[in-house]
Amino acid sequence: MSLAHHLRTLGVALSVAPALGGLMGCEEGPPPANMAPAPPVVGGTTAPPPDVTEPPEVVTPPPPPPECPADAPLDPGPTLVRRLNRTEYDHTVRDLLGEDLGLALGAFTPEEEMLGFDNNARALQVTPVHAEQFMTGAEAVAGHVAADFAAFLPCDPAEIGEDACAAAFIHTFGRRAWRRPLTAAEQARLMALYAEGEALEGPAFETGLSLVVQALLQSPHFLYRVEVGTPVEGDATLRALTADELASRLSYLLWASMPDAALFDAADRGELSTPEGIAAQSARLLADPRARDGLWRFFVQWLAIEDVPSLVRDARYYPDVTPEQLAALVGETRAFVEFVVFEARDMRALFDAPYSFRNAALASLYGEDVGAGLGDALVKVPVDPQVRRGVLTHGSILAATAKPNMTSPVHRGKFIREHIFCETLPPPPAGVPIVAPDPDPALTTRERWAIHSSEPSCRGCHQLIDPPGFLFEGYDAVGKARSVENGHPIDATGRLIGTGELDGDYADGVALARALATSETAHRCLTTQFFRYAFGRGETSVDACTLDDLYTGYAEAGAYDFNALVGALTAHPAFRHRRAQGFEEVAP
Amino acid sequence: MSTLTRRTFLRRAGLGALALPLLQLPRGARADSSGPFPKRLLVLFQPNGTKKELWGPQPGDPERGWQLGPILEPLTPFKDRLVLFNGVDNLAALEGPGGPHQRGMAALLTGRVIGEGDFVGGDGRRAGWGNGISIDQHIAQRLAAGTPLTSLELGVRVQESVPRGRMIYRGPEQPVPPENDPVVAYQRIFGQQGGDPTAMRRQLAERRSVLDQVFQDFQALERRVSAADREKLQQHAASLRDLEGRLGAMVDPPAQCAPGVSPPSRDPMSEAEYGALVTAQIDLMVTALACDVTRVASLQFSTAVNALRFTFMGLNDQQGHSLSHAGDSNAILQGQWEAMLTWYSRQVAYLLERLAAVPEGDGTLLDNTLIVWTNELSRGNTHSLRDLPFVLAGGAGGALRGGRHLSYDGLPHNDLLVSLTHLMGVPEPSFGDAAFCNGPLPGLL
Repeated sequence: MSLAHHLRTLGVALSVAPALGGLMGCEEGPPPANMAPAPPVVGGTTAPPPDVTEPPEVVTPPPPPPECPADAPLDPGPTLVRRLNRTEYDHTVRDLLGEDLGLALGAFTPEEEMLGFDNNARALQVTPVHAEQFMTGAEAVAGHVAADFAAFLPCDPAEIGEDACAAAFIHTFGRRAWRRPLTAAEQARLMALYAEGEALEGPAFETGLSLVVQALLQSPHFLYRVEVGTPVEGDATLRALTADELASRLSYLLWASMPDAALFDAADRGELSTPEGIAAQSARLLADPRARDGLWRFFVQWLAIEDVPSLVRDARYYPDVTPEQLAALVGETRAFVEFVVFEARDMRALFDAPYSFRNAALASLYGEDVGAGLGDALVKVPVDPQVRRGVLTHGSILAATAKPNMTSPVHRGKFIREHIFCETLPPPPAGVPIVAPDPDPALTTRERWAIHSSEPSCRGCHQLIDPPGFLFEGYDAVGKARSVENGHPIDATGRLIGTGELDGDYADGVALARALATSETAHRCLTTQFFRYAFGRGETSVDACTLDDLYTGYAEAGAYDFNALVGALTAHPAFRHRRAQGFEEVAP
Repeated sequence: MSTLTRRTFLRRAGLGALALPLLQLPRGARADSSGPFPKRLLVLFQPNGTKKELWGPQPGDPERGWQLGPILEPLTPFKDRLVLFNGVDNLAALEGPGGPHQRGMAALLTGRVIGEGDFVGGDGRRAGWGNGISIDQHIAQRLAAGTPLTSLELGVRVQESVPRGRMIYRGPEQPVPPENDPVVAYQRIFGQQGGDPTAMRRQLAERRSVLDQVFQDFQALERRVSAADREKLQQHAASLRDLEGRLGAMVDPPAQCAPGVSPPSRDPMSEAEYGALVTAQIDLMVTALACDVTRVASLQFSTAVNALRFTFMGLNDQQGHSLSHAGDSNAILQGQWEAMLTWYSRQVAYLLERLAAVPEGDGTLLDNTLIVWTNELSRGNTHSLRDLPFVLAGGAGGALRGGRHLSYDGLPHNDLLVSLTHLMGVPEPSFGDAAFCNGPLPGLL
């Protein structure tokens, strides 16, 4: 019986993030040889003490049930109202006004994150500081509108009268700001607020409309993607999203912004009531340049490379690395991902493509001879397929998972198991001292870690984590290829265990990349990661069939085309419904 | 205090002469020495544990007559203002999902077991956020001081928006992110400066009208959404009410407590300027308390599990969290770790100096402040959550008797947290999860 099985049987579970804290401590090397054996993780039970040298089991996303029959009842999972994050706020204001004011990023408080994504509904909250930021943000938008009212008014107040024109503005601007038509009561309340402009100094019309814009942008109907839905005939457990709510789901998924006029029109015409209509709009949005910015939010967070431009590299070891080069690493990955998603349309290439993108800064960082003529622009180039293949061999990921002065196989291995395999690693056993010995400059990084993984108390976890990291020892802390370290030849081989289909010996990262290209584990994980981003929450056991549907539509029916994953997701009933649970108390 | 306006208080406190730069707080410039002066609470956080054998009194040492260890040595001038503890355990952090740093942070000021994340996948649990209000926020609510800011949360290089980077909570799963940038903190404390009074009054009127409207949106919407959504929206509305309550103060900044110039702009994530950032935030915090902009404040040095090298001290190789894991026999790394720990003590000593330099009546701001200095762990290389290195400092308006060491045989830190309500004059029988709370620590009050 495995440890994980014990824990599951006992209702005790393993958790994810602690592994980082614990492992970072172990990673410098082995504990003292006289360390006491690890105590059982679970106390006060009849469970035998676990053998800590046995690979501790990882928690993976809920596997598909044996069967997901087509007529199984739909459960869209526990959906929560989603507040706009800073990116969405800025994009939305940009598309509302036709000008990017850049109010939120760099000025508003950064999001709390969960599972690496900044659009998690539960983590997005509003403290008094946020409330103040939304107030000043709304005032900035109102100021922008007031500076050029003529551009935003659907009428001429001199012609039809100020009050009538104000009503028309509230009707049209309000519909776009709240992403749905205003009710008569809402229109009336905003007209009453407009009328308060009379009491303030200055021109009443402009003042009143400024108040209206401020109120519209501080309203929950602007700051949140409110989903009330409508009852579903014959199924009391579900509510169907309205056409406008669905339009926002589409636009925020693909653009991280509000719907455009064509999407609003499609909603008005009832075209979003069918999977075909949704598919048509989904395809249209994907073809728009805004999808490149929008979907990059998913990829940059899944691959955990957003902070690469501000990474610190120790100048004694990496004297020539510049911030421009680090930024270029992210540029490489973005150009590559966009090519794979929108041009190659085959996500197998994400893992094993024998090409990437280079400019002068990147070629210099990688120490490659890619020929003359490279400037600032990124150019698609073939790479030596013996040395690099796919995104895991990009300097962006390799730098993000390294330390300032050296590589970190533990970080790299942890990244692969959590981000690429979607595993949840257990925390270190309780009560075990986690200490580091003297570093030994005569050894390679791998040799130091290899010593430590021979210790029983650490080996349990590290035989899972370290080998996938060792596979990338052929790249330094900024991703430059290397064959020696401290004068010793690099050993980049590794044996993966505990993964299922990917178990086995690998010569190096390139070998793993080739296996990942067609790995069900990797592509199911990509599906799960996109689910987390798309729904703004982590998956639960009730989502297993939905995830299976998405994987099937993406990998099997869709030939690993990311556009097919988007299509499968937006067409899925889980995308169009919410649970009715919690709506029962609604007052009439 | 309730019969005084803040402005009269400031006048009486002699802060009208508070001049620039911020550090040049006046000595003996009191216009009026009569009180009363309010109590303030200031929470300090330092990450990754310490070395209690080099810290101060050891378990079983007497209440008085002990020695500061080398780590706390910089606090020697304030020894009689300190209360040090042995045997206070973070029991609530021994349970729940997540690793010790996460559990320690989540329970540190809430006294509750960490929650689960919303990621219940298969059989696995994932760590969530703190599961209740933190003691500082609780006390801020109880004080209901009516100050421009209900509380002030500052940080230095708090890089990650994750549970191990959060200790302040407005309620379950409602972490309060600290402000890392002294320039932004300055603006938050002092509001708009030098605006046209007429324009600012008009803006105040506009803001009140707009917020009235927004509250109506919330009320109407809350009736139509799911219960879970309603809770989320109600939290937002509560923050808006907080904002509404201080709109007036935002356009009527503490003019008599001249804020001076903004601190210089620095990269809040700079390693090299970490020390300068700490100084800037301490100075702002002292000024905010001295000017009675708030009575509850916190300052968080980095995060549990930080990637922070003290390059400004020449410690270029190891990040703080890595050093905390150095083996006990590794003299070089242990020496670096002790240097880092001692550096933090010097910053706390600087803070106490600044507080002591602000006269209040016959005493000082330090006399009226209760400082709580804490850490999510006791020791880094064992991840021990027992015997946390709690330090209380200051006077708490006469409620805290300093110069003492209190040694227990493993009492929950909730007992210390609830003691804070007594020291701050808003006593309560229990705080956090009652299963971990016996009431105030024996002998402390």
